[in-house]
Amino acid sequence: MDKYLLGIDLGGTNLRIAVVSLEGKLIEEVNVKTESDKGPHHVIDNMIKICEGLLQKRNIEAIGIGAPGPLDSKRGIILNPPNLPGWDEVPLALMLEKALEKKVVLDNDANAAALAEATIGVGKGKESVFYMTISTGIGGGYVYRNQLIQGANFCAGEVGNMMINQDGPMHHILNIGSLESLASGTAVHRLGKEKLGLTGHAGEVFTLAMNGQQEAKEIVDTMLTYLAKGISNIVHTIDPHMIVLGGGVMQSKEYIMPNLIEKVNDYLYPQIRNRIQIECASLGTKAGVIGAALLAQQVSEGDDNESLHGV
Amino acid sequence: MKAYMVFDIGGTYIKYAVMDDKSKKLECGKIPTPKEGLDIFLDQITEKVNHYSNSFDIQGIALSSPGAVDVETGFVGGASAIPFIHGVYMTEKLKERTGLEVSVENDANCAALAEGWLGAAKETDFYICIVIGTGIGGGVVINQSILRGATLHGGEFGYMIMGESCKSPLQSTWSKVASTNSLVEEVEMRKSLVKGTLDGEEIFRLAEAGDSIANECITNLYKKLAMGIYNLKYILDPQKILIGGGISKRPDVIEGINNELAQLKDDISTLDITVEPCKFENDANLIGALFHFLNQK
Repeated sequence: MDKYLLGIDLGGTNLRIAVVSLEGKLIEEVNVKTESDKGPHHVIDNMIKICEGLLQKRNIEAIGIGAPGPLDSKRGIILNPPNLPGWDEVPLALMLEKALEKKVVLDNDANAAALAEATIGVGKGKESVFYMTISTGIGGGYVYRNQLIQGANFCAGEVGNMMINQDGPMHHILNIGSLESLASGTAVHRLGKEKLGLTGHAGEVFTLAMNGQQEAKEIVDTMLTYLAKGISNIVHTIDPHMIVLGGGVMQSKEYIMPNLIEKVNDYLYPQIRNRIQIECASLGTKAGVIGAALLAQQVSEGDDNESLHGV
Repeated sequence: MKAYMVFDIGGTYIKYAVMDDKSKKLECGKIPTPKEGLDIFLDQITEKVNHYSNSFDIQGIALSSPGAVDVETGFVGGASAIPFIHGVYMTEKLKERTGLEVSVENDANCAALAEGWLGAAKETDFYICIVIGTGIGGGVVINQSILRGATLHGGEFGYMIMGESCKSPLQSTWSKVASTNSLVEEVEMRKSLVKGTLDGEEIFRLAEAGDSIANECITNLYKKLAMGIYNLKYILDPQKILIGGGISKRPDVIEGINNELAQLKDDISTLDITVEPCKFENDANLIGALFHFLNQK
C-alpha cells in the first residue's frame, strides 16, 4: 500500500487538511472554515474528525501542522497567536497524536510554505531558497539543500523582527523599526488610513498606486524601500539561490516586483548586484497545506517511530 | 615526518607554518607581502615550500586568502589590499610550480572553520563567526561546512545596511558603522584629531581613564554591533554566534555587546541572544586553512 502524508494548514479563517504524496503532490483536500471564535476544543474536534476520515482511506505515515505563531515547535504547543484568539498554550501536536495514533509535527505557517515553495514550487532544484511572506505580518523560512533550517530556537527565518530603521514608528509588541512594522500589509494599511483616509485593506493603497495616485505611490515606495533593505540583509548573510515572496501583499506583484527588484539591487554590494533571483511564490494557497505535510516527512525521516511529544 | 605547508595571505604579511595534521606548528614565520606582483608572490611561496621540503614530508599546501574564493576551482575573485592575487586560479599556479596538492579558502571562512574544528564552536553544527577589524567579515557554518552562497558571498554580512541614508546606502553598511575602524574614526572626529592619531587599544585605554567621548563611542559601537547580531539571529537562529578580531580579546567588549543585546528583547522577540569570543587569535586563519585542506576531498 502506498504511503502518504497528511498536512494541516490551520489558519485564522480557513482550515485545510490534505493528503499529500511523498513527492509533495496534493491527492485529496478538505477545506472548511476554522470557526476559531468557537474556541480551540471545537476546532480540534473538527480537525480530528476530518483527519480520521482521511486516515481510513489511505496509509498515512505522519502528520504535519502549519499554524500561526507564536508557537513552540519542539514541544508542539500553540502559544497565543493573535490570529487564533482564545488559544493559549494548546499542546496541539500531542492532542492529535493521542487521538490519531500517528506522529505529529507542528511548525509555523511560514516555514511550511517555505518548504513547499523551495522543494516543489518556484524554488524547486535550487540549493538554497529563502521564502518571505508579506501579509498582515512578515515571516519567512530558509530551506537549504531541501531541508528546512529551523534554527537553535526554531526562530530561523523570523525576519519580521529584523530592525531596519531605529527612527521608525513604535510597534505595540515589536522593537522600534522592525521590518514588520515598516513593510507589512498592516504598515501600508496604517499609512493609507493616516494619509489618504482609506478604510479598507492594504490592497486599496496598491490599487491607487498602480493608477498613479501620488500619495499612494509614496506610501508603497517607502514600504518597498524598507522591504528591500530587509532583503539585502538576508542576501548579504546567506546569499540564497532564490528569494521567494508570498503572502497577501504579493497580490499586487505586478506593481511591487519591478520596483522592489530595483531597490534591492541599490542596497546590494556591487559584485552581487543583478545576480540575485527574486521570484513570486507559485503554489498559492496550497503552499501551506503541502508544506505542512512535507514537514512531517522531514521530521519522520530523522527520528524513530516514537512519539515526538509524549511526556 | 608528514606535514602541511600553510599560508595566511594578509595585506601586510604572509604568515606561514609547517603543521602536522592536528594543526600543531612545527615551524613558522612571516614575510612581508610583496608589492611587485603575482610572480614574485608565487616565487616566495614556492621558495618556502622548497625550503621546508628538505626537512619535512610536505603533503600539500593550504592557503587562506582574502577575496571571493571558489574552493572548487581555486579561483580567487573579489578584491583586497593585494590586487594581484585576484582574478587568478591560485591553486593551479602553485601546483604547477610545486607539484603538490593545493587548496585555498577565504580568510574569514578559515577563521570560522578553525573555531568549529578546535575552538569555541567545537561540536557545534550551526554557527556564525563575526570577525571585527578594519571592517566586519565572517562566515556562516551549517552542518559543519561553510555556507558559500549562490554568488560566493555567503557570510558577507558586513554589507548589511545599518543607516537611514537611502541615497548612498553603501556608505552606511555594518562594516562602515560598527568596525574597529569606525570607532577610531568617530573618536578622532569628535576630538578633532588628525586621522591616524588613535587606534582601538588607545581608545579603550582612554575610556578606562574616564574619557567621556571614548566611552560614548564604545557604547555606540556595542549598540550597532548588537543590532546587526540581532538581525543575524532572526535570519538564521544559529546555535552559537562567535566574535573574533582584535577587540574580541577584551572581556568587556563581549560583555558590552551582550548587555546591549539583552536590551533588545521585546514582547515577540524574547530570545536570549548572546555572543561568545573566538578561541583562536592570530593562528585562526592558518588552522582553518589546514582544516579545509584536510577535508576538501
